[in-house]
Amino acid sequence: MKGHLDGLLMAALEDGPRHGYAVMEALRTGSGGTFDLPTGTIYPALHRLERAGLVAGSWSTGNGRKRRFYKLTAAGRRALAEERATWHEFSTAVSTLLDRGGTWAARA
Amino acid sequence: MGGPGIGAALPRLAPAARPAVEQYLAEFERALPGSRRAKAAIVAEIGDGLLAGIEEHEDRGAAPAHAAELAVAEFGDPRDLAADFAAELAGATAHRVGLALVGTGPVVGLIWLATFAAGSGLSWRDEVASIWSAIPAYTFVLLLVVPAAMLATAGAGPAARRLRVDPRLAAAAASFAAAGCVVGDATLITGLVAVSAHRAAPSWLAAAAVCVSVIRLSIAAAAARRCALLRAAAA
Repeated sequence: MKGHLDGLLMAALEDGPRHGYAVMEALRTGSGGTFDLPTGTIYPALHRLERAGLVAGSWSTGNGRKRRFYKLTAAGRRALAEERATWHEFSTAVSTLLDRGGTWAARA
Repeated sequence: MGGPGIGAALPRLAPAARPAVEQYLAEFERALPGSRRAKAAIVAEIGDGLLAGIEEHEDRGAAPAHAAELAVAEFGDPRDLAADFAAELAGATAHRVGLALVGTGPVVGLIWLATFAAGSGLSWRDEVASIWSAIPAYTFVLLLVVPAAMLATAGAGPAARRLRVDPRLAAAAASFAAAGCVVGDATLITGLVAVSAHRAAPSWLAAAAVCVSVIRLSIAAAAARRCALLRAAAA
């Protein structure tokens, strides 16, 4: 999970800017409750992505409330596409092996 | 209680929810290293996140006090959260310090070269050779400090993505490079004093070189300390 957190966060921001708590909610509802991450994990991770230039944070004031929103940068979109491709390759390979049902070819 | 960041985060909070949130943010702010401005921004962001969490739990039927307890629990131990943020602050600070050192190094170096050359009447090549032979340790300083400053720049930005340098390592490199800069500038100033004893009175160029180095030395010393503190606090 930890190794894929960055990809999940970027995917949650793909449709548009969100603030930290909204990212956590998006991951929770989007995964049907499977990924219920500690909120304290999300915020430093968003700052890490910002430090790497993959997301850009900005303050927005509305209804007397100051809130920090994050959006994907162009570099973030490229990184997300790479993460997706890597995950599809990995998950396809794992599924293929797990679904063999004991029919592994023996070495001569 | 707490700094300006906490006040900015709590204007919409119900009175019953305040004690839990104020205590959490106060403990978080105490454990968080960094500049006042950086801390205030992070505390305000976490405060807004707590408020969002409280609203979420209240929408599900929790009373304000209980909603606050649930929201605080979701964020986890404030000291652990502060340590995670310290790592990010360490990387970002290291990046800025590294860029400043790499950017000012050649400029300050050229001012000193011109200063020594103007005072001796030698060509700049002969002057460089003269300085190197008089202060051989300076070569050693440069060979260590310049790579360290460049490593520090990888604390953030495209280099951070490509090289995946640990922010604590970047902060250590920044601290080392800044400390080396202090040694280097002090060596140059000392060298000028020693040389001035055998030459004509120092020129305005020499005065400018000393000023520039004193300023850079002071800023570098503060930066070295700040990076060391952030690295120590990082998770």
